[in-house]
Amino acid sequence: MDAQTSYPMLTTPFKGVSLQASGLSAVRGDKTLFENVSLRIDTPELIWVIGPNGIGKTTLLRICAGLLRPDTGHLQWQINGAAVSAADCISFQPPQGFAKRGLTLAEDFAFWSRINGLKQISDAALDATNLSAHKHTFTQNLSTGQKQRLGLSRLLADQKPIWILDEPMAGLDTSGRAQTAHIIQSHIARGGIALIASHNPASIDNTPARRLTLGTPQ
Amino acid sequence: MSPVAEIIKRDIKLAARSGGAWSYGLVFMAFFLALCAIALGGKLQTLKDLSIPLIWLSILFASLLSISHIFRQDMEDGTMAQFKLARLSSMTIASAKTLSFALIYLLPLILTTPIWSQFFGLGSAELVGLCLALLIALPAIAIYVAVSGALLCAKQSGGFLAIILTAPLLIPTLIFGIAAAQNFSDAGIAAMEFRILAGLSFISIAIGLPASAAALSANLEG
Amino acid sequence: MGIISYLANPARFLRFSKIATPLFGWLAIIGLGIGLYLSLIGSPLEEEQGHTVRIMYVHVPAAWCAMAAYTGIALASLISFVWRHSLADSAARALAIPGAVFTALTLITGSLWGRPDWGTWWQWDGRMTSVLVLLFIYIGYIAIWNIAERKIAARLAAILAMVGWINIPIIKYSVEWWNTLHQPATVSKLSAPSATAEILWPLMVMGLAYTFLLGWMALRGIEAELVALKAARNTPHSPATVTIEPA
Repeated sequence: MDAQTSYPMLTTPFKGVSLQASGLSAVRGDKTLFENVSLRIDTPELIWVIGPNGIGKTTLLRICAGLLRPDTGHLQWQINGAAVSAADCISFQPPQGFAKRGLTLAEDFAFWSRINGLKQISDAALDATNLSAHKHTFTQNLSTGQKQRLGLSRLLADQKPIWILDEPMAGLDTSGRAQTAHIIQSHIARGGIALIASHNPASIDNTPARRLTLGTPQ
Repeated sequence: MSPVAEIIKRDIKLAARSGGAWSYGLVFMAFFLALCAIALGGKLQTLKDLSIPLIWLSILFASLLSISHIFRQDMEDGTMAQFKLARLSSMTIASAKTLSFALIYLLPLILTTPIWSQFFGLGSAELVGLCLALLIALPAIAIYVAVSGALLCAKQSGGFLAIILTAPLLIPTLIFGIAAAQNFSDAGIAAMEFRILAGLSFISIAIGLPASAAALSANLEG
Repeated sequence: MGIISYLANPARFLRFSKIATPLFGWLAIIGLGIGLYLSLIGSPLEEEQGHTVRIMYVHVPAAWCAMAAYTGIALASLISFVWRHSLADSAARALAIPGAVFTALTLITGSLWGRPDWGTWWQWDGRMTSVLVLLFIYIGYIAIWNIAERKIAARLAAILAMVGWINIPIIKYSVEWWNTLHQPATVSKLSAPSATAEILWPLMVMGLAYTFLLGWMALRGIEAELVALKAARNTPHSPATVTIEPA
């Protein structure tokens, strides 16, 4: 399935998107997770965030999404060269997504479309991730792969230029990984930025990428 | 529809599908009041005098029983973070969740009061006074329970602490709510107690909603 | 605000407390010595209450300190909430347990004072009930410090302290109104004898001594917290190494 053709809005280019983090540090309890992390993303690019469990990947991602307050440091997000708020530019996906128990997939998807103020609830985003057949399944009954695909369809529907994803490939089979990689590739190709935590970074063709590694201190 | 209405609509749908979690407060109220009546000897004449305070207490305790439904579930599954990224302010989230808590978990307790009051031989004038007082105090009860809910929403088990945090805040509402209900047959709705009770509800809105919003932000942002 | 922002730096605070803490401690001891002599031996008996009136000299200052400590907590909480000063958190936290102890002392001495008059250890007297509710608020405040890591707990505690502070006058008014509604007029209230110089002097000395004692306990509490925070920072734990490289 080609996301680009089945979801044409994905081709409208983003311009002047950037994420600038300087001197970030995070303390949890008595523990300093990381110190003085600076990251500047000025061009469409994919950043893999890598490191062992518990080292602070999720914390770093949540800080970059404007959800956690860093203990020191400063963050700025830009579209068209102008500073914007996190809500203007960021889609954030926690591991396994955030589908609500007790709602069907279609209800959950429609709820977030309305909360995000999307003009129309587009079935195309669900089609693009092959979820149309599962619309009436309760979200707690979705498989891991289906939950990850629901997350992708939200990214497609939200149309935000900066994607911050925590383990979007976990629990996916080969074709699922290929589809995710393809959607991420299209996002970078249209001028977007992605920050992705993963245990198992895939190589994505024709996509500028860097690795940010949080390593165990010596 | 506004985000507040969307959230309330979703919460009502979830409550209807939750396997009856919305009714635990009612079940508690029935058990609590039945045990009180038995412990007090079961004479309707004695029970009648105590019925208004006992029904008030049962409603306060029953509302604390549902405290984890206000914010904790949305906090744990990541919904709260997405609300923030959807430009909803903490104040909007706190208002919406407090409203849906009042509608789903508190209103049924008040609406069934006429049934419970029959176990205590409560007269119809007293019953009207009791229901009016409860309805006027509903915002204060919902908001102060929600403040504790917001303070404790990142904690797995906070039932014990919820009672300690909420009880002092609800003492004025309890005092004037019971007095208003007891005074209704003499002084009617114009009684000073009703006006003070309404004032307490307004104060709770002014203090409690911002406090809930601030506590949500603190728990979310670290 | 000047003195607060000056002391907000922990190093400066420690320099200040190095002199202030022992000073407060000694003033409290001297004040209590003089105050106890004046109130237990030097002051006259009261006609109706006899020796019982002497409980007033330990009761009234305790009630003052209970209230003052909570006011201090609310003020420090406001500073911490608005300006995120970590030292204000420490100050609020350090006042909590002394405040709760003074509140309990107020209740105990009030009960002892009322016993001969009431014939029971407890009456739902308006003022006693308000102090009991204040003790509940203190217990909630102390408990909330333990529900999360310090940074978050401090913010939650500050919110709770401010909500409690706004509610205290409302609670006090409600309880006093409720008390007049339910108590028969024959139950007499704890009442201080009319203020003469012989009574006022020991009371003021005791009030000052209690205040210095509260100040000493709060300063010791802040010092202890600063030491604990410093120790936690010094435990050998290094942050993760960060490398950014082309994939």
